Amino acid sequence: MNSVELLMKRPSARTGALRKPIPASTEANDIWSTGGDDVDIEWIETSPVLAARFAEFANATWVDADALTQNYLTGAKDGLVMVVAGQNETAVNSPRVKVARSALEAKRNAMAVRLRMLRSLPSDHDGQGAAAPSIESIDAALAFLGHLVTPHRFSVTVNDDGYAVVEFEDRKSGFAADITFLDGNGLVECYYRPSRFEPSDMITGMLNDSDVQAFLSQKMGVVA
Amino acid sequence: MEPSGSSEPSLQEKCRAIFEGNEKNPKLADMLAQHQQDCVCEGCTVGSTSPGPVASDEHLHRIIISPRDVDEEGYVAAAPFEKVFSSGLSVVRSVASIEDVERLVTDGLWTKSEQPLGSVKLILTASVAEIREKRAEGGRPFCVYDQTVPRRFEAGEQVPTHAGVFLRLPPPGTDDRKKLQKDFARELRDIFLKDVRNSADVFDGLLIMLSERALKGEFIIVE
Repeated sequence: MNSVELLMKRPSARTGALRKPIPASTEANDIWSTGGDDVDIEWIETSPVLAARFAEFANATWVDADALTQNYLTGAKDGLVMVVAGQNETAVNSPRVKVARSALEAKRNAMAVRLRMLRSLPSDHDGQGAAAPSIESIDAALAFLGHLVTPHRFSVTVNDDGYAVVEFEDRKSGFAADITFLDGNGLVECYYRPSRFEPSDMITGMLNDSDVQAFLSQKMGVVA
Repeated sequence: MEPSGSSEPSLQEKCRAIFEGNEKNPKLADMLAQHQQDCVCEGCTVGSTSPGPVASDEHLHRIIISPRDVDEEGYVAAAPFEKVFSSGLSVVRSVASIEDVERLVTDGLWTKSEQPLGSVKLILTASVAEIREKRAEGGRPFCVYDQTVPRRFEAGEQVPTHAGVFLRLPPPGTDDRKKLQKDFARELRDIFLKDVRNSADVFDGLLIMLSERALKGEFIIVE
């Protein structure tokens, strides 16, 4: 069963049928573009809700936050549907898929370059006592970035303690999240604010712990 | 009866004592919250060369110079705003003279040889009133002080129109304190992101000129 079939067979109470189906075949970690057409997915409220609900389906699927309006996924901004499915998928035969995939890869590469640049900052680089970036922390973030799949806008920085931070944001909805790499061994602090009007949540633990993985995928909409 | 001329320090002296020499102290926000409740030091002149307390009809400029604060696509990082709950968010008051802005920005543009060359990336502006009008359980979360800072290479000289924004909530010992502090830092960032300008659009082109000098290598620290 591929992820698209799963979505169509497991509607929640609020789920309407996809009036314009997602292309019938996908592959793991593939990215599908709406290709300029409107797709009506009636049960979408906000992208974090979408991320959480899809994660319930075991195979996580996300939609680019910028492409979402109240109830519609529109293709006006060439929005992407990212399908991160587990098994038995085939490729989407669309040239746009490759474009979308390369865009994500380009973004990941640009952020890796940025992290390496930040590594050269000395202590007190801000004139306000910030610590020099931690090489171990930056290396851990670089390893994470290499596999990152997310619909959210993301960027990287270092905090005052010198730890690498990957930040995610959707300014329209107020969604905000970050992952701080507290050492080189996988200890992370994850923060998540679904919107400006909903309470935030935070977890600290090892990146490969199931609790942390669930927090990342179900709340933050992040897979790595 | 207490004799007149008591040696008890005045509020202003107490407030100044907390700030003095603590510009880089990551515990400064906690020290302020602990010793001075409810932003009471806002009514005092805490900076030694300040023209006076920050008025609510002023604006604050956050001049972004460090490459860690903004990426190549113009995304303004959230992490640096967490300074609001450590050593304070460093800003320039709208009452600053062009000479003060030049001094402060020049100090920020100096880099060590192994660092990327500095330049002014963006200017974020916020209304002091909007920051002070925020309310949360426990009262006002943010205080704005006329905190002056020493010049980087001019011993004894201060930038008089610098200011600091500090978070005073939630108090130490609160459950999920770090998470709540991050919430407030995000809220403060949201306020500053309402007004984002390029360096060409403010201070009569001064920031463009300073950035050009920095990118030519004029502000490299020789060690």
